[in-house]
Amino acid sequence: MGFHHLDQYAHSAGPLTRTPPAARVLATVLLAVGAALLPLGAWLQMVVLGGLVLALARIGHVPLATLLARSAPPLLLLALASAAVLVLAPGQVIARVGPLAVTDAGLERVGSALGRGTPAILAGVLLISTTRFPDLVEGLRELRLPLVVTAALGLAYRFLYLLADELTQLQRAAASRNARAGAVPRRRLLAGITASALVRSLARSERVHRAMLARGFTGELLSLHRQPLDREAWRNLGILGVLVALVVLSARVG
Amino acid sequence: MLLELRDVSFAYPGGLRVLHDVSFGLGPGERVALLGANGAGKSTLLLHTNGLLLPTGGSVHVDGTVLAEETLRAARARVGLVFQSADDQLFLPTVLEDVAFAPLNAGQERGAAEALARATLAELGIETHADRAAHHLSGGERRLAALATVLVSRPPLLVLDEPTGDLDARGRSRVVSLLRRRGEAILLATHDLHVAAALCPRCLVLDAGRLVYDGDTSTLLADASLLEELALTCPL
Amino acid sequence: MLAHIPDGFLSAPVLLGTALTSAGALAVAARRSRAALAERQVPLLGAITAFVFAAQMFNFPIAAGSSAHLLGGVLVAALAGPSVAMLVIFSVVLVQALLFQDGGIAALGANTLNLAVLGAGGGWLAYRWLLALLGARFRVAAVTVAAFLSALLTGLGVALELGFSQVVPARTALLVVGGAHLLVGIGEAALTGAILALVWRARPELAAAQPVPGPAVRAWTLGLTATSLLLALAAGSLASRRPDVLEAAAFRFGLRERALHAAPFAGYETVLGWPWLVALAGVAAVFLCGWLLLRALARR
Repeated sequence: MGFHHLDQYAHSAGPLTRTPPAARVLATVLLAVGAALLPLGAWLQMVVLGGLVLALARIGHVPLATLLARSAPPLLLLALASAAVLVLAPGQVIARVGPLAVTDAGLERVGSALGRGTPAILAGVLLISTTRFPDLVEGLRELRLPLVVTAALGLAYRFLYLLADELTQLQRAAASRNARAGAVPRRRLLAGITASALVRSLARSERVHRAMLARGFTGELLSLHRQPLDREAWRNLGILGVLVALVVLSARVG
Repeated sequence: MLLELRDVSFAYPGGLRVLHDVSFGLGPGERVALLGANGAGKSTLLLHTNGLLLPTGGSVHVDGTVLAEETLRAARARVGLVFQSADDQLFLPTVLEDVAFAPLNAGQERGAAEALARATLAELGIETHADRAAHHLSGGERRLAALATVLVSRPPLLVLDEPTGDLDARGRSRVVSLLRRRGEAILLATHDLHVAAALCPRCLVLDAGRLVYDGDTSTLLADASLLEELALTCPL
Repeated sequence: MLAHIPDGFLSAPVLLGTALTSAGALAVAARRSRAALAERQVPLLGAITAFVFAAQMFNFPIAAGSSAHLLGGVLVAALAGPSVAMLVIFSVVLVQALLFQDGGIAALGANTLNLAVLGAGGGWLAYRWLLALLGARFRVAAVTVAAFLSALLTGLGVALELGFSQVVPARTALLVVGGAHLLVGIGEAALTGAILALVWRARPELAAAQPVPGPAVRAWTLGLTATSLLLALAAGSLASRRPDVLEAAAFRFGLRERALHAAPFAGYETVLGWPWLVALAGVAAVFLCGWLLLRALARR
């Protein structure tokens, strides 16, 4: 088990990577919220928003194939999560699969969930394809999220890797004692491993706290690189915002 | 005296007494090894040197000022403590940020803190790792990075807890020769008698929380029966 | 359906409403935690956030063929208090949405409400209530039951949001999502109880950091709980014999009319029976008011 996917995607070059991370986060939120605001059945606008993300990816030199390949798992999850709605939403029955009746309302809702969800997922994947985890935290800090949240996330990054190492060790220790068999022993074992990992994390946090104090910690995690939203970033965000708003309005008014 | 302990005793809140009337002094540029078996109180003593623990009896003086809540900040700038596990010391996403942590918290400007951090990494020969995460470094490099996080503040006294504990022969030699070249005073807790001999002319031995030897390292190491008596060597 | 709602399902009003509610709750939590947190808690927060993040990557077998991962709200709340727990769970939900597309970005407000506010905050209230009822000796039992209730609350949140968004009728959502969260709750309860029992054994001072409420509060809680239960029983039996009484009461408060007009609730009657629902909601409201009053009094 490892967390190397936390930042293995992030490209080092490309125009999007040079924009402040806060702008990338805001753009992602803008696209996701824009898509979510589309009414049921606004198929054209859903396609346009998806296209907008793909265009951004092209500007950022993120290959289309990469983007699509990384979007596949969450898209599949979305499809699976929405499948039940096909038969659960009441409406005109348009097809029968065994004992299940697919309704027109169900089809429209599932189609809309996919249509609204896809641009959001593409935008999210584009974000992680251009942004490393520490930069993401820096962006969130720039966006004035509570200090407690950004401090927790900033420290969680290193802790996660250390925790992953410890979990691997604990699992190996358990496996070497031949711990297998049924659900109950397995559950007990996992609870034991999780509890030990938690106790170790807490102990580590105390040692880290000492190390911070020894180096003059003042109580606030200060960041070395500030990348505030500059004029150019605001201008680009403005353009994107207007585009998204136009798409949403065209669907809402039309 | 850079650091002076006067009759320092310490007991944990549960009542467990770990240090008994420990007294010694350490001057500028002096290098002293702290030896002793596991549980002798070495780590606890080190935590007293910059006030992470305050003694329950006696007093600790840094530059002649007694350590108390209100003098901690100044003392911590004078005494650089490097912990046993490098991972506990590298808690930020990149090595550079970890090294810049102390200058930033001391109120330095971002640009100055970064320049200082980069210069310190260059001194240790690991400047190419500045923007990497600590978990992508080798054990030896991580140890040097942890050292850099403390050296960046230029403390006149370095307090090191097992700085070569998890290193192979080459890594160990790299750390020792680096420390020997520098001018800081050093208090070094270790199990490694070779490292102690190579680096520190003077050594202290702790046994069950009491200071039982304070003298030449070479004299101690030449006396096989004394070493065995102090449980510093054991026949295999 | 999952505890993390993906983007694409929720309607604009639900997205907005949940986002505002969550933002308000988090702002309160952030302020309270900043006041209460010494700087020593910063690394603790990082460690717990990393832990919850890692723990959610494990899938635990619940019963034949099904598995679930830890939600962790009550676990964190019992270790570090409700404000920290809400912020930690929010941090995890945020990163999961941005980095792993696990849960929507636009639906962040809804997922935060379900998992952080209801799951961690609501779960903590349940924990404190049970702790007051049962006493320190049954700390593990209290936290276990609270974890179950917390998962149910999360499921209730998901179901209502889907219902209000008219994805599926509220009744269907409650049955499907609520049913699924009964299972999730069993897993959450077993894990939270087992993990905390081990952690508290290893680090007893962590349990002692959250003392049991004093005898006066415990007595009041006991009285309030007993009264609520009696009230529920009385109202229930009354309702089953003379349904018109409660319905009339419901009409007088305008509850029924609004419910009839709100399309997503059109199917409620057949889930539980309308009078029972009013009785339950009333008792819950009485209990909640009493509880909040007590807390306010106890603080003074």
